[in-house]
Amino acid sequence: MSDERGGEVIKGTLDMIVLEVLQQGSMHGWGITELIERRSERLLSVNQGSLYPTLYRLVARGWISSEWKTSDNNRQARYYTITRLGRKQLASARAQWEKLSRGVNLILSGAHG
Amino acid sequence: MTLRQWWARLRGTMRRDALEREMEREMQFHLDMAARRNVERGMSPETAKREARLVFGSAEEFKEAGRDAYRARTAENVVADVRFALRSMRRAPAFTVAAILTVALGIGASTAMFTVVNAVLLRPLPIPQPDDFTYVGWVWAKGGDIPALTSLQYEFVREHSRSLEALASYRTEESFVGDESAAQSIRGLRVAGDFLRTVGFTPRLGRFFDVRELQVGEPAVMLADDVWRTRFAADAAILGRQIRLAGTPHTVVGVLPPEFRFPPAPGNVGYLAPLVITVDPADEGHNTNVIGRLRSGLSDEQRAADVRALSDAFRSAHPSLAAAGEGFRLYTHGDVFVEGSRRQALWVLFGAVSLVLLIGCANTATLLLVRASARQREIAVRASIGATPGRIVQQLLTEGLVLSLMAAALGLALAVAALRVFLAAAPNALPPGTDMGLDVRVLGYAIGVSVITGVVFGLVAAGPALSARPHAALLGGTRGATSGHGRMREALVLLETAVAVVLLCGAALLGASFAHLVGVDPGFDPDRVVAVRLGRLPPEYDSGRRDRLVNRLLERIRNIPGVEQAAAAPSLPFERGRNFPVDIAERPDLAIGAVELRIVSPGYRATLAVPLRGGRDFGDVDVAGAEPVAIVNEAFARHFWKDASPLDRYIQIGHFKDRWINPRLEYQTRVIGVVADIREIGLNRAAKPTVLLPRRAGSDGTPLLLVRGPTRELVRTLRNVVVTEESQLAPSVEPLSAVMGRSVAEPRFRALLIGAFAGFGVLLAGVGIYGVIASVVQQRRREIGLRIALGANRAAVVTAVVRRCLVNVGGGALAGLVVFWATRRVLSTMLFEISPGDPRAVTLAISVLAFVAAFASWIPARRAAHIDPASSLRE
Repeated sequence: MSDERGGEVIKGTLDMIVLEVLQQGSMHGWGITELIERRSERLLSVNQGSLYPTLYRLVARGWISSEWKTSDNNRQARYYTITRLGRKQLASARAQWEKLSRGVNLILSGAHG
Repeated sequence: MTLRQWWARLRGTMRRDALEREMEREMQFHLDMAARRNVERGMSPETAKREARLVFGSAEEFKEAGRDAYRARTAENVVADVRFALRSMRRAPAFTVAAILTVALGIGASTAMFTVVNAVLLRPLPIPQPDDFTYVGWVWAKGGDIPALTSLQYEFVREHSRSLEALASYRTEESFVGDESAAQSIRGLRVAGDFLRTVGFTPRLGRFFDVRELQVGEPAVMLADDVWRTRFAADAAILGRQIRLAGTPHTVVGVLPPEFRFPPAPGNVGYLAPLVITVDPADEGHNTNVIGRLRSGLSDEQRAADVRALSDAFRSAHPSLAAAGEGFRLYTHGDVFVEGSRRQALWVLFGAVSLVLLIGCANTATLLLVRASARQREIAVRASIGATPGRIVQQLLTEGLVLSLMAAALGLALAVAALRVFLAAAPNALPPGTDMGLDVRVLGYAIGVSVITGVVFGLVAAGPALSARPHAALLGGTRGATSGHGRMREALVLLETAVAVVLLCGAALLGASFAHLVGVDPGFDPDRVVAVRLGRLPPEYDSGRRDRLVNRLLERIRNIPGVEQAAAAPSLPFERGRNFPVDIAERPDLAIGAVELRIVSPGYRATLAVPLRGGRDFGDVDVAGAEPVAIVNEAFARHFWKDASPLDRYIQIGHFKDRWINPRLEYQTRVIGVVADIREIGLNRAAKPTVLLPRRAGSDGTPLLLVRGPTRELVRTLRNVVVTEESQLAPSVEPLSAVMGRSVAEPRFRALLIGAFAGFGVLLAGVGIYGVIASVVQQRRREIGLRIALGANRAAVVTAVVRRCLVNVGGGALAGLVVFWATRRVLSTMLFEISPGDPRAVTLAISVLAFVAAFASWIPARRAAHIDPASSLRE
């Protein structure tokens, strides 16, 4: 399912993006979609059909944890928090991503030059 | 559904419901927030809501994703772990096969042994309300008891007991059913009283015997279900028909239910026929087997009180037949058939097989340790990419469990096969009525053992895995941090050695004991003797006609060329014969309640080649009407007269003047001879006091014939000789040595079994020692190579490597000896003429172990000595 307001997140990078967003602090599912859109300057958008499965999978792997808390507007919402393991995972994923994107960039810019 | 299952299901449902509810709430929150933003962007509340829903997509899809993730959280890891375990097992096939085989053999052997323990000691009898089933016997005031009654006592209990709601008697026999041409006789029961109700069954067809049949012995028969099916094609019209039983027509009155079992009878029961019990106060032998069914709901105290009241009543009714303090006693099946020694033997064997299992597990643990150090790198990698210690332990536990459960599956198959061999090898090693099927308890045992071993394996492997620092492991490969579990491996060698020593000592003792047993002089010469059982005589035979038949047969047999001696006896040596109380006038305090009494024809002693220790044998003068005479055995003579000669003393058999033994005065039977003790009731039992009386006209019972001569020919010809004389007989002919073989079957089997356990245990311990030294040599290759390169003496290097391990073996042997010494008493009831601390057995055990250990260390030590410094340093 694509979203008309922005590009689909590249497969496999959503884990990293979610972890990165949560590194700033605990957040509920809705807040995560909002944050991703805002921080990517609306270049990226997340479709809910893949966000929640991703969240549940990350919980299952022990990278994030969840608990019910009261939100700003006084409603019960499930908040997700990054774990120590999640931070480690994020660090290694980020390193890998940087390598990958630098490589891809080099090739792409090489093709022009 | 049990309460527990119900609870588990309820909790599972509740957890699923909670998950669904949470997801719903989460979705609702998301939708509300999205709708609110849409309103902020200027949509109408209705459109905002619809738009939010549209963007969110299918709620069902969302929930399904959630459910998947939830399931994955629990199942994914386990599935992945199991798959990983299988993959890593495939990668190391040699290790896997060795480990699974070792543990499977251990689990298989111990499960087989546990099945036997379960069947003999733990399982209830295979009859309805087994706790109310009882045997009735008699206790003498002077000590001793017997699980049988006199006919008079049986009748008395039947009439007067309040706590027994049914009482019966039985005797086993073997007979031809139907056509004699159906060449095999089958085992059946003669039964008296309320037999079927006592055992707890009702007929499948027809009825049990009626009063007339039971009291007069009218020829009637009940068939067992399988006999009815195989011989009479399950024909329901068989009721009322006449079939031949032991050659005479009997009316079929009923068919037993298929689940009918009779625990006291060895093997299956093929038919029931009435047993007439003639109540004769003069018959003081305790020769009536009595079983009863207790009224349910009575407390033990009430039962005991009733037995006491019954004994008092019997004493006041028959004061001459029961002294003060004598009385009835109730026995359980175990009391009668599972003697204390057998109970203990089973537990000892079970202990031995558990020790083998322990060695097997220690061995596998050593293998796992070796593998764990080889896998330190792999585990370090996994830890460094984020696997938690818990997750790694979970993975290793799964591997251990996969290993042990595979071993358990194989082990169970092995156990079933082993039991089949067990039953074939030792049909007499188990008490009658033993049901050897696998049941929940056996399966529970096998699964429990394998789960425990699996967990232990997992934890053993986890030790080095978790202690490894990823950094060091990654840098140093397998060479680094090994000293920690090196110590653990040494401890395992110590354990294995200790256990092997205990097993070896036990095996050496039981082996020596068995050698003594087969070497024991039975008091007679069973070789070249053949026993002929005549079977049941046709009813038209009275005692006179029977005696004439026996005499004619003996005459004919003595005339067969090659036959040296022939005699009639009431039963075989080793079989319980009939018993009577015996006393002497000068020492009434020495009276014995049950003396083995054998009424034999002249020539009995000579046929069995029992040495005559004094006096004379029976002769042709000892006929009816002549002076009553007896021959006693040495045990009898010792009991009554110590070292004095028993010759020409007088004994009294029974408290009454028995009509056919002693027709005239009390204390009239004169001792005319003393024979050597025969081990009458088993080679491992001391001889019981026994009296031989001459067979005379009118003696009761159909005797069996013993014939000394060329065994092989006699076994072939004697059956024809008997059938020619009386065509209605169905005799069975068997060499006496075969009967003797059966009597040592159980001790032989024990010795064999524990010998096999010990052999297996020592082999495993040897493999363990070999494995440890081999891996030490492997790990220290560089160091050894370096030393040799620097000029060290090869022998010294090897000694240095092997010494440490041998120190552990020595320590283990010492620990094993200490343990054995502390527990040696448990063996004492299983041993025959050897003390449990016999130094020869201990020496033998230690030498075997030393040999195995030396051999196991020699191979890797040799490899160490031949290490080529140039190549090992370059590695």
